[in-house]
Amino acid sequence: MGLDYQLVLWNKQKKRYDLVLFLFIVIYLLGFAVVTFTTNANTSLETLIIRAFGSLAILMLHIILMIGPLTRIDKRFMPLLYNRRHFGVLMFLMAAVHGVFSIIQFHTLGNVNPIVSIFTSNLDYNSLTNFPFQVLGFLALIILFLMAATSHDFWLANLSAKTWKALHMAVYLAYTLVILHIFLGAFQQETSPLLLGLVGLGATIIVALHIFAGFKEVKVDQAKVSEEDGWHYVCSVEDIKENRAKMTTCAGERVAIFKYEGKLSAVHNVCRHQGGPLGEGKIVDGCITCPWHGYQYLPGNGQSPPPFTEKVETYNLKLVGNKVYIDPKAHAPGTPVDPIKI
Amino acid sequence: MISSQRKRHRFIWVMIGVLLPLLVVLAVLRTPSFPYSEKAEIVAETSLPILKEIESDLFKINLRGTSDGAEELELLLKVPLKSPSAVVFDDQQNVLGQIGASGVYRFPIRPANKAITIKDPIKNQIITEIKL
Ligand code: HEM
Ligand code: FES
Repeated sequence: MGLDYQLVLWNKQKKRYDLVLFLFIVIYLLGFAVVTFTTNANTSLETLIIRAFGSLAILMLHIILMIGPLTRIDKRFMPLLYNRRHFGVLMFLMAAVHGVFSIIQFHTLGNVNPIVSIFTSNLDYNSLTNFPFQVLGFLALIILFLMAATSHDFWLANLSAKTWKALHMAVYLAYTLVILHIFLGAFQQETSPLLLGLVGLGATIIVALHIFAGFKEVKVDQAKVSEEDGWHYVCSVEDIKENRAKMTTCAGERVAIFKYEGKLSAVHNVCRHQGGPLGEGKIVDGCITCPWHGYQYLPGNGQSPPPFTEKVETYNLKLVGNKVYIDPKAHAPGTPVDPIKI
Repeated sequence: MISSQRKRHRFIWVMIGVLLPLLVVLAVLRTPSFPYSEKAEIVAETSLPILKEIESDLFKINLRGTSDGAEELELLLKVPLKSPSAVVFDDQQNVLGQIGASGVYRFPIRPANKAITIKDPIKNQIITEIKL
């Protein structure tokens, strides 16, 4: 990607992100321990660990799930998105500590394999209040493990962005399982009403944010376009800022039209890395630069500059007076299209 | 995200928004409920004389009554029970009342009652049995 100085810049940002995350985790765990031991001095260490790590994992999961819709609603949340993956992997590790200690505490005393014991120590599968809630936590943990394990770009490259995205949508299933794990667990274990209240509030916010952001996007998708001989009217040239893009919708897909050096080019809006919105990025050193993690594409052909090999679809544009029109038919990813001169 | 992913996204979140509250509400509705006995403060003057005391790490039980026999079971729970729902039954499996936080609970009992059982009605487990 691009020039060296940019890589250094990204890395510095990445390190700062990780440092903040790490401090957050340490402060949370210490705070939890201090509050627990001052209010209930005879809590056992195992119970403390199970509760501290479980509640930390669910808190982190809430933050992670809020980042996406928040950036759709307000651009200022963008910095949180960068390196969301490390956030996710750390969240899995916290949940894993909670899960492993729960298994040690509740399932290693008998003569059954502890994993089997999670599934068989309570067989009330057709009850709601006495549902084996630990099974729900266990399944969620497996999903989170698969996501953490495939989070590296190596898998992204080998699974294709679409499969990877589909896999990572399983986080919603994991989220649902965890919420039920906590609420159904509360009928069977003493659970702090404060935690239940907070998780209930958190879940309401998460669901509302996603639905709100989702329906906000419907409006964009269904915006009326005026058509002339198969060409869609987009906007006038002045509406696009230099080195920035204007977004439009062609056959249900988002397209970004960039203005740079007195030229216009159109590419598909979705970054090949993790689906970031290219149209919200800018042109840096002559390349369209993704706002999420900085992948770059040449506006003239939708290809990443060598040695990178990512490609996005390109589109034909035409200019009538100062009006910009687009041909909604996409070219195959990486097809060169001569930019139109303004 | 591409268009189909956006659609799937919306669908998934609307489903979660409907199903999660539904399941939690159903679970709450299905929780067995028992009369909660009032948590009484110990006021020695107003109480009946103690006939018998039983003590363990978890609780202290005072059987109070008159010469005709015990009429009241006073249960001092020293630490909160691990189980969020606990119900006290007499020796004929009649519900005396539900207990929760640590404190003092009083239940009227039959003089002939010989034992009480504390059960977790959700897990269907016996927490403890006490001979009186
Ligand atoms: C192998 C997987 C898991 C097992 C065996 C397990 C087991 C348990 C148990 C036994 C409790 C009750 C603890 C207590 O009240 O003392 C509990 C509560 C909880 N679990 Fe899990 N769990 C697992 C996975 C997860 C995951 C993946 C998350 C979240 C990301 C999670 C979050 C929580 C939370 C927030 C609580 C409530 C903590 C509290 O009572 O204060 N668990 N779990
Ligand atoms: S989504 Fe990661 S760089 Fe575009």
